[in-house]
Amino acid sequence: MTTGDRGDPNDRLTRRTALRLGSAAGASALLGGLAGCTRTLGGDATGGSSRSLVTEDRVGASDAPTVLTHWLLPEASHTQDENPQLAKVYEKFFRAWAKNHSNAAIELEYQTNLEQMKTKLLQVAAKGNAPSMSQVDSFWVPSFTRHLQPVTDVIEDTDDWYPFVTDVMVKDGEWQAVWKNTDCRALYYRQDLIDTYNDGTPPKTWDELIQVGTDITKNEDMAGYMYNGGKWEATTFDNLAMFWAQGGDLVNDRGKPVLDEKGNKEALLNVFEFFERTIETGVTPQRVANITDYGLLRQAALNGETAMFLGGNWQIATMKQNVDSEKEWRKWKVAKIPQMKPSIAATGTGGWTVGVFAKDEKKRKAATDYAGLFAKKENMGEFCKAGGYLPTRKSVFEEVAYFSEDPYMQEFKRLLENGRARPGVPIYLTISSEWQTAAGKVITGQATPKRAVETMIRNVNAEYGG
Amino acid sequence: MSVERLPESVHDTINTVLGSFDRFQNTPIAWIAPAALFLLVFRLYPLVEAIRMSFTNMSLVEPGYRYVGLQSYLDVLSSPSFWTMSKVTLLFVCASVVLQLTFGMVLALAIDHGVKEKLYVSVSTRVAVLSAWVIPGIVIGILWKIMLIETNYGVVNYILLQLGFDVVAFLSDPQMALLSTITANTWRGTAFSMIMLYAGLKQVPMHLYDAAKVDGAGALQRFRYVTLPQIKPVVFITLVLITIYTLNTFDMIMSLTGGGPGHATEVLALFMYLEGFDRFHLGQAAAVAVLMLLVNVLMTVIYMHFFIEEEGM
Repeated sequence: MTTGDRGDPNDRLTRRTALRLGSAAGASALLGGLAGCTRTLGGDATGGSSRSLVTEDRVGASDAPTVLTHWLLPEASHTQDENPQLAKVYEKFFRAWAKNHSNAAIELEYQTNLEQMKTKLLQVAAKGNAPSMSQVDSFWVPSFTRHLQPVTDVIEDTDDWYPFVTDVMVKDGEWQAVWKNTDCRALYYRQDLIDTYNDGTPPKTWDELIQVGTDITKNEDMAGYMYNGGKWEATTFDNLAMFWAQGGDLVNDRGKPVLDEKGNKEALLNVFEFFERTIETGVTPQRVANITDYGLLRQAALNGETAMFLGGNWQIATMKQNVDSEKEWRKWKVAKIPQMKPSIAATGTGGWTVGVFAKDEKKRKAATDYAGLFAKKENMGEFCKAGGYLPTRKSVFEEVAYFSEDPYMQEFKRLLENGRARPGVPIYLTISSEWQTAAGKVITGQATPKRAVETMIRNVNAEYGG
Repeated sequence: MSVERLPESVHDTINTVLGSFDRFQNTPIAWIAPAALFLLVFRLYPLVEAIRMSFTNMSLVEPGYRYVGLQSYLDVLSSPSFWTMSKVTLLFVCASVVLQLTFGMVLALAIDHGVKEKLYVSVSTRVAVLSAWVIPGIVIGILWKIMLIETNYGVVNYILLQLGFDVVAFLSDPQMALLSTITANTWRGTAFSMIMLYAGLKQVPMHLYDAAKVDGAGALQRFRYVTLPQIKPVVFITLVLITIYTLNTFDMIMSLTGGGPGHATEVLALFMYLEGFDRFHLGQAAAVAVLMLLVNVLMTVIYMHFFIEEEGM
């Protein structure tokens, strides 16, 4: 357009007007484009061909009449990068399911954060909008009892599952979810040091632990024993084994806190007095009050800063990955957590389940079939081996070579006999939080064990009463 | 089709619409509306909602709730932990504000001097200090946690060992943990004070300094009688803002100490977060939020009163 072509100025649009129209058109195009993008994402969000049976976020045919939704964390997916072996196992299971369910599909809905996932799941379940199935932390299962649908028909050989599994999973004779993998806590110790200072046998009691730990601390310029003592869940969960082993209970059958009952209070006090002893004797450095990461315990172990620590079963694999030679990590052995008396035992167990929420029978059946894949002995063995998890069925430890031939796994198998899960009741969050605070106060000398325990019990009861 | 050849009726309609838009554009409401709408949706509504929630027993995981009057406030105020945390918060805020203001002033004066003397180092100082300010609090917590590891592998403890000192329990000793938290917060917040105060210093007329020099005033006297009175409004604004920022700090503390050991570093903002998102008690978390809001407002009023009196405004 040249200026010479302009006619009557009243018939022309000014440059300002033209610019405005241009802006409006641009904005419309942008909005249209965005809408188009949204449509594209919504229309084919599979990230792959619609013909494929397993895509990034769908399992089964894209045009299947029955569509299930599955909530999961990215690390429990066939697309995760961190552990390709585990991803392959997930993909294998998905394919197996898709092959047997040609009329159904699973939409995979990834959740980005574990804690948010739990909260979100509780909220949607309470509103009746739960997904068809979800990855559910074993510890959360009792919170979802009202919403979970039974998966009993895919559970075979009920006696083969560990008692801690049936304690939590079976409600009114029905299995609430499939507990697909677990873990446990154990005493990690340096065999060479225990050979020198305790005739090769790891300490079984607190007294022995303090004795051996003192000798090592004096002679080796390292801590005797370390544990999680910071403000985080593991400070409670790892050490709860010492409370449970004494017969202590945090809550009763109705979920009411019972820490002030005589036996429980004594058991609690004993544990906190043990914490105090570890610090006062110098067996444990006070800096455990700031340990909020299992990695710090592993680091202390591999740096030669501690002779023993209370860790998780998975740490032997990470220690293996973090040292140059097999000789180095094999110095570390695992044993039962030392207890007040040698005859008692306990270890905290966690892990994940697959829970089914779908009430529609067709969907419930299809979702239960998926959950059931993890319940099969061979599948559980393959899955746990790839993921570095512990199986929840005893026979897997006996019949799958990876578990039956590994001395560490065989020790974990023994420990799981006395496994115990946290109570999945709302007040546990307060109990755990108060335990962490009390432990921190005892370890740093801000409170005596008695005072810390009294405060803890008072706060927990006030919270429950309130 | 070019715009010149639009049918007359369309053309008229466009002109009418644009004319109306022009008239609307010239009214005050057109300019105030976006800001007002923003404030209404993102500030006022959450505030009213928080106050409403504080009178309920709302939980993050229960669908229903009921109004319980002042019960949430009573629960919070009757908890002994609340008062312990209030003391920790008071210490944390007072120490952080004093240190941030002091270091901010020293740096602002140094940079102002550097700029006047055309020293290149003033630019790098500003960049270095500002970098602390732009890093998210959660990252600052992690950075300091790594630096303060309580073995000879920790950066600070390694240096101390090299200098012949013992390993210091920076995060597991209750007093040291609070001190470390204050230090990290001061490191983070000094930049803001520096920027504000430096901007204030730039506004002080040079002739006042010249006159003071002629009258024989030394450097300290010039600072006391020229600089401070001139930048008092900026100091006031800075003081109010850093107090509010510090009072609301929780992300850095969460990643640095988690509030421990015990309750040694648990400030009210962290307590509010844990109450809401760890223990799911939205009602009580909202009550803490409202109490903190009242403290913030109260402090602002005190500061304003003090400075208005001083200024004779």
